[in-house]
Amino acid sequence: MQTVTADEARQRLLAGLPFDEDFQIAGELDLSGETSLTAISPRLQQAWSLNLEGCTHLTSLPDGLHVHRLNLNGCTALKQLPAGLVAHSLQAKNSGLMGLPDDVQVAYKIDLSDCKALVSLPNNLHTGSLIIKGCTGLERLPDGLHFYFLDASNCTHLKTWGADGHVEVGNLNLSGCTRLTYLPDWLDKIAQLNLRGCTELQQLPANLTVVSVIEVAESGLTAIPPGCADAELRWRDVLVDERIAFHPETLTAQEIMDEANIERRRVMLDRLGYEAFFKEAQAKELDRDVDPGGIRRLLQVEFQDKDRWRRDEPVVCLSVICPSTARHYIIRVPPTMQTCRQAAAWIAGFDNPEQYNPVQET
Amino acid sequence: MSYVNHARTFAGYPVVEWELEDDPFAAGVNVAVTVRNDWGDDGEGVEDTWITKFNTLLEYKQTEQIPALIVGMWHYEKTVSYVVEALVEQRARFPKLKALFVGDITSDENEISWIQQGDLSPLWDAFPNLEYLTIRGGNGLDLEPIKLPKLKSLRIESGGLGAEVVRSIGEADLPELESLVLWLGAERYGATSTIATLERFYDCAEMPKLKYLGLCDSDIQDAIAEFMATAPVLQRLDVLDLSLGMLTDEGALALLTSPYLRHLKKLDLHHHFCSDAMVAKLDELAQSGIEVDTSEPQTERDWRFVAVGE
Repeated sequence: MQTVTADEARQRLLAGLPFDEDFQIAGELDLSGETSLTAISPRLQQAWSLNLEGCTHLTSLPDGLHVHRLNLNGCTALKQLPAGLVAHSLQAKNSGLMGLPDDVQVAYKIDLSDCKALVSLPNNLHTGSLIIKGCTGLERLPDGLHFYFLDASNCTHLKTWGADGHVEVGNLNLSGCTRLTYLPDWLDKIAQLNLRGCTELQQLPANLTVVSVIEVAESGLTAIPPGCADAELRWRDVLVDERIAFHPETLTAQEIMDEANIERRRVMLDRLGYEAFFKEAQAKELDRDVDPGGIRRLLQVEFQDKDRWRRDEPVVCLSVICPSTARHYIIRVPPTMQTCRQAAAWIAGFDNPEQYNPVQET
Repeated sequence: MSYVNHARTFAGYPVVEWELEDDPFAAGVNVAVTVRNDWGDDGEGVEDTWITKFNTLLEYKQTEQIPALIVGMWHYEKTVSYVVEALVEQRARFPKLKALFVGDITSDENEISWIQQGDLSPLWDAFPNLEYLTIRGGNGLDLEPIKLPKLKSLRIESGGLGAEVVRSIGEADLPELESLVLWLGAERYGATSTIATLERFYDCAEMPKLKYLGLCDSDIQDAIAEFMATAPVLQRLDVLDLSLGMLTDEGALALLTSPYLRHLKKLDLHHHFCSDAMVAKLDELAQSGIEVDTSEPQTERDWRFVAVGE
């Protein structure tokens, strides 16, 4: 096989000149942004690195290509990869890929972020890190998937796992997979699991072990299996316990007042809800007036943080009654608010309360 | 990590520390002699004590025999340039010199990021027989391209090495170089290298004898690991050293899946931010005969740092 310099290969490929024999490149072939390029000569067999980012008209690559690093980000016209592709890393973010060939070999990383056309992955795919975040057309993961890391965040149509698979180390990001209702049994021991916003996921396999971190904010979970008890339980990245995550109704206003960690206190407050919090907490009334629903009150709770450098702002809420439903609402407003009228204007989107003169409230 | 002690041996030679009234060659000439000023020197109106010490050394004819010289603390307000000038001027007094350490300075004396280096390139013509060169401190450092045809070992310790220095080493013609260690450091301390800067280290074509490559102490250690994982140079290295930096599971995975990993005898990753599970996978490489140093795991998950910065 002939060895061609990257410069020469680049010139010939861009000029559309033919290659008489198979060739390899000892170096990086950078053709990024060459929007007129539609194909790479099938004579190209090997390169250290091939950068085709933004080649928006590229539709084909040579069969049997061996390349350490392959960059196909933004190759929107590229619908499929050639047979026999071998790479260490494959980047194809925002590309037109609809799937991967059955015999693809990518040892380290496959990044298919935001490939909206992607509908399937081949069975028995083995790779170190599989990134399919934002692949909203993907409904099913393949059988025999073998990986270390999986980022399937915001795969909003993902419903089904492959029948079997294998995970090493295991860092799984499934946040925003809103149709996911289960995790497979073969996923037995992993390091990190992000389930934020998996609203339909109501329970985890009983045999699942998570050793490091499990994120559960806004998921459908109501408990975690015993094998996850040693992992850090997180809610929007904040370390919490099972009570905060799954039984917030048992929290008391006093506990929240006593919580020294400001981030955790905010999560606790959010979980318990302002209504329940203000019912119990000794709130100071900053202002009171009357609107069509009845009495409005501006309430404030201050925290007693010892460390003045880590002092949280007070919680200020407007307590109102809806004129049409007579329901009571507690709405948080900025701590700088001083009157009910000012707070109501802020809620309606006005910085200047003088401009907020509702004709009628419904 | 910081340097608490001065070097005790250098290039295999015992280090001699001496005072003005001592005989630096009491233990013979096969030594590494230091020239450093001490705490409390260099007040206002005092002559530069590094020069005083160097001039005292020159009173001994034995300088013509010594193989190794260590430049320690020089005047803290000056760059190294006046030291370089003095060495170049007196080059005839060190005909056998093959090992030079510029900046054996502890963090007590001067933090690594405060050491004021300078243009060292006049040394190449003055001491063409150098086989070992160690430099501590990256501020102001300029090597031009190093021209030392006999150089076997090059080591630069820095909390932040400029990209132009790194690039110039990649482009240097170093036919005898066996060991290269660069502490790239952190951006906030002056590191400006990107992966593009390291392009020449992918195959180290101008360093045909290279056996030990260290690209260490970097805040882009993962990207370096990913890049070097497919570097053809691994096929002829004994040791790849990516220690002291902000290596996480990402970078470790790239190495673990490297097509050339099995050519290595040793992978040094000490001081890292990898998970226990990933460390266990790395340690399994011992079964394939690859020694992996995964010591000094750093536990901090949200606030990562290189071993040496300031």
